Amino acid sequence: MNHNNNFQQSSDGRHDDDAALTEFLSSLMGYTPTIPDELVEHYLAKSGFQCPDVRLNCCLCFCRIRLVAVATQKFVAEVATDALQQCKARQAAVVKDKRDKQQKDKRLILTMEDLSKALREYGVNVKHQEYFADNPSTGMDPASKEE
Amino acid sequence: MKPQKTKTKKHQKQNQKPTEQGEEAPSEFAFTVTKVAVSQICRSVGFKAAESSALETLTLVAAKYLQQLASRAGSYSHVAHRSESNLVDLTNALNDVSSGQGFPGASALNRNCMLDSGVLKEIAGFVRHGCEIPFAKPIPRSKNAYANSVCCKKENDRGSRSLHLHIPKWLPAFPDERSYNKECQGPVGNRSEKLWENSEFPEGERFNFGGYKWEVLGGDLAKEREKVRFKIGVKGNNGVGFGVDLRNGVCRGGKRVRWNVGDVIDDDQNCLFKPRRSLS
Repeated sequence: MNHNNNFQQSSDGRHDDDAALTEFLSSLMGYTPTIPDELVEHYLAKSGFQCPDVRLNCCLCFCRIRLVAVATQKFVAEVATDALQQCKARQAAVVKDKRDKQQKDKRLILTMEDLSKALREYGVNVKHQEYFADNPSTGMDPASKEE
Repeated sequence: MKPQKTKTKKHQKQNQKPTEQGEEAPSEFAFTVTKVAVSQICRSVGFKAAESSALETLTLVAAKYLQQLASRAGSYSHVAHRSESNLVDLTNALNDVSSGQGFPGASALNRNCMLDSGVLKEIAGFVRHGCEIPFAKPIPRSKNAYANSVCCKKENDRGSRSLHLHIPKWLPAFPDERSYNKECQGPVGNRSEKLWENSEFPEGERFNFGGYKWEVLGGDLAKEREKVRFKIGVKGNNGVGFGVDLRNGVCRGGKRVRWNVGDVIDDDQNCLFKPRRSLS
């Protein structure tokens, strides 16, 4: 791999890190991300990221494409995990006597409400129309709604 | 839960269209593929179901993230006077994109080696500890990509690309070196005196421009275009119209010619209508 030259230029104290990075880059070759390579190639080409053909320069180009795919997968997974935590926290906050009523609703569903809260931490402000049926507390009295 | 889902789905379809309207069919396909991948990730995280509006929003955000990453890496490479982005550009782009949340070592980015970034380490950890979920179905590559691959493969086989790295890859390749380089023409000039079995190159290949085919020469610029269809003539039924189908006649192309009698021949119109009136 060409990057070995870069690694050798760096100082001796960072040899362990460099070895770990080399190992990581080579491990990317064996890892299959959920986002397929073809899709990543399409988006890369669309936004001006030039890369030689995958099947030609397999080592280098594969690394880049896989790295982009894994980075995106990690981002989506983090957002989804945050949304899941929001969902669980919301369900745990329901008052105990009402919990039985909502027991059947207590499935883990990705909702717009949780997602927008999760995305806000990443700098994405999602606004969506609040439907009457969306919010379970819509029909309740204002006092309980506040909680 | 059920009615709510269908309701949001309906509204989302309406809301989604305008954002996607300006784009072509491939991006819609890409959006659908991304949606599948994102829903796979959501499922692996622990979700059992998802509102379609939420899923589409997350998909859009993921696609934007990917494109942002790519365009940043591309612009870093352009600043450095390169056309192809490398790993350092990509690391810089990753640092930029994830600087909103912060990461270890963000304060000393320029001091250390670029590839020694905290973001890369986090991704390495993700790869090491996360489970592998391959995409549900293999995706067929587009025809265009195949043509490109054939083009590049040919070039690589001839070894010309390795010699002329400075030439942009969308230009057609050089003709065979023997056709313009006199030093290389030595054996070719003596070819007539040799037996053809002993000749170095097969005869047919000499003018073959390095094994290229015409369709492949388009390179990156070749693009499949839509079929253009149009009809000649008036479709409406107002006035008297004549249709002439020339499919069996002189024009074998199947062109259909129509014209309005009322526009062309005014006097004949009376002749056409008068007998009918007298009949009724």
